Amino acid sequence: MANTFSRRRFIGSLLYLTALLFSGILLFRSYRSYRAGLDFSTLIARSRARWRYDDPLDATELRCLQQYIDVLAPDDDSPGALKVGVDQRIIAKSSDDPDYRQTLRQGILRINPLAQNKFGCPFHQLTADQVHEIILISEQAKRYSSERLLFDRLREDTFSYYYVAPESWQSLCYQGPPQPVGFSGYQQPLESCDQS
Amino acid sequence: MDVIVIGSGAGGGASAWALSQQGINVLVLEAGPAYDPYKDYHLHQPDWELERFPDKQEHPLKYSFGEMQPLEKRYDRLRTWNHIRGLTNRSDTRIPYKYHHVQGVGGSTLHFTGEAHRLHPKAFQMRSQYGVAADWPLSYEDLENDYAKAERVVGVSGEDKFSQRPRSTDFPLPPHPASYASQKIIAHSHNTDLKWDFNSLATLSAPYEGRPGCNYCNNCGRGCPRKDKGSVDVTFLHKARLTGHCQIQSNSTVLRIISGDNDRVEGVEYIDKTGATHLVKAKVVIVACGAIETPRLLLLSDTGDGEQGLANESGLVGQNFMETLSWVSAGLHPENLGSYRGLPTDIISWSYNAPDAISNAIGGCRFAVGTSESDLAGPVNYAKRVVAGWGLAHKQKMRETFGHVLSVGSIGESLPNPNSFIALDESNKDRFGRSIAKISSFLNEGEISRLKFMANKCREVLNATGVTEIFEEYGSYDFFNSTHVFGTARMGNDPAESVVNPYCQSHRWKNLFIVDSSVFPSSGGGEAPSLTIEALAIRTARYIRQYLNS
Repeated sequence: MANTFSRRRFIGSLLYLTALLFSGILLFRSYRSYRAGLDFSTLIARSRARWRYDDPLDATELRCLQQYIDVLAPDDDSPGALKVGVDQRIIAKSSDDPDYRQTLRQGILRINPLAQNKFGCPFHQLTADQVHEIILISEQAKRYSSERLLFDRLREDTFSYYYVAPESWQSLCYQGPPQPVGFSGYQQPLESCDQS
Repeated sequence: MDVIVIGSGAGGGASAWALSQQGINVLVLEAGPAYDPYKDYHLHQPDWELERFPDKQEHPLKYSFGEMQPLEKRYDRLRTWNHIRGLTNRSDTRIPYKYHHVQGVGGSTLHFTGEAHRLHPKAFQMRSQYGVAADWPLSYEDLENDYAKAERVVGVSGEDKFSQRPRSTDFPLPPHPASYASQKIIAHSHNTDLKWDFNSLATLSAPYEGRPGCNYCNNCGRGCPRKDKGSVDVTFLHKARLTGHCQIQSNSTVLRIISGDNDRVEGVEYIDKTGATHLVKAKVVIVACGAIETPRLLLLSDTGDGEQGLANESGLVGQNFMETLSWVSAGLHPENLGSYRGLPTDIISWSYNAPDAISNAIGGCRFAVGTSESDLAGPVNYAKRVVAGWGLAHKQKMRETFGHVLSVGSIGESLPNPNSFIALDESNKDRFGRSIAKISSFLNEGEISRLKFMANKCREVLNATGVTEIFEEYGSYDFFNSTHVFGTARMGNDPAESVVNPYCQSHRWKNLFIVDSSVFPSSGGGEAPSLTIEALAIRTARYIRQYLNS
């Protein structure tokens, strides 16, 4: 009888301690999220994102990507990234590579509350100047934070796909690709675009 | 079959040519695929820059690494960094990055920059003269004639004024004129103690034997689509095929060398691309898989009397591994040099190439322009690595910066030490269930001192040329990152201290030869090894003919 009572008490205490520990973890994570500026809906969205690993990016996520890419390499005297199809290449890459897609998704989930906190609307509704500010924050974020990973990936890929487009070469005076013509004037200085 | 050659790079290709032109029947077995320069290389496509050499191998070469050495604070100036990305290796341990190697018909010459160097004569006597590494059992003079032959087959362009390397013949072709960017380095050389020469290159400065002259696209490393770069597939192997005595079989991996009686090997077992296994017998077997795969294959083969490790009577197969000791500094020149044009290493400085040239470290080094080798010859890498930031300001800065990069690199002597070796990794297997090679690498104080010297000189050259700000540097101190590897089946006269004799013949197995940089007793002071491998192969082929006739 005494043994049964002890076992009950032991199991009860174990359950109590487990519940206490679980609550502690929840509290700590909520505090950490609060410090990081994440609201409840973002936390839910982040949890859901884990379950959406195999899903393609949705329309809002794609819009966010395009906003971001457009500011990384915008139109000026030469066409910007969207005009040469950089977004389409990045979207295609995200379709083929679920880890890459997840990096983009997690980053977008992070910049949305940043936009909300700073400008009172989600990222995809920001103006170009406002997007610029959010990208600046992402660039300066901690090295492995979601928003920094998003920045690093998109900077790398936007420039990769933008500067393989011959439209982007004109303003650099670059007359590539290297073949089939080569660079016969290689011994001479570059005086004008015609000689490059 | 008279001779089986395993591997089709510099050693295998030159062996196949030298033997087949004597009427000897040769079968070349190459683990990788064949490349068609006109179809497989992408330099004419807009996205050429997204890929280095277009490796089309389904099953790339696998290897693993042993434990790497810790990094020390006092050598922080030797760490790899970029002004945008910061330190590339943020850990406190050296990182095993890559063994740059191409498996394919032509081997690593498919992606080499075409440097065709003779070793410094003093590099043949490192033990007797300087007390390090080992002496070669032959001299520069013993190889001179075969160097000249290899230069003629390849079509080397160069300048006949290297007094350090006496020549019996002129280079087949005149040197390439220096690019505008390289002219700047030469023009400011009076500010440093380096003297610059036109590099000797296996790229054609004029049409040669049906191949066109180079058009200076500056991207030899991505595979030459014109065949003007003298990679082994378009030179030695092409000529070997024309003899009618050479058969080249790609996608055929040799599983083991079969040992026989009387200290002879019988042939090889290989698996072809369909997965079928074959046994082929031959009078002679030549192993030419490079200084990592050659010891692996030998160690995977048995002697037939219960011993694992063919030709390993001395226990030196895999030992004495030497790697590429390298450094590159890159900065921005105030003038738009159009530095993406020209040849990757058109000028070179041999000023510190002799083994005793550097005051505080035995072993030489060389310097060359390195803009293309650093992969800074196109807009994508400028955007990612040279120009910081993003947005409109980045685009504008790209316009102001493109063409301004100047990069100087150095490759130095690597000396053997007990902690650098190749072994079998029993816990990692390839797709055929065989242990892969495990690379153990260690840089001792001598190597690090030399590296420090190389780094300082590279910075000095850039500064002397007008570069005020260096934006990126990388080297061997915090990364294992090797193209040239050596020494794992050392050549020598004494069977107790070497694997092969002066004719690259196994001391025990009389019809087994090793013809690649595995046999190098020392690495040289930064010379590219392919021409020396080819000269050794031609010399060995002569000996094999005598062996077959006897």
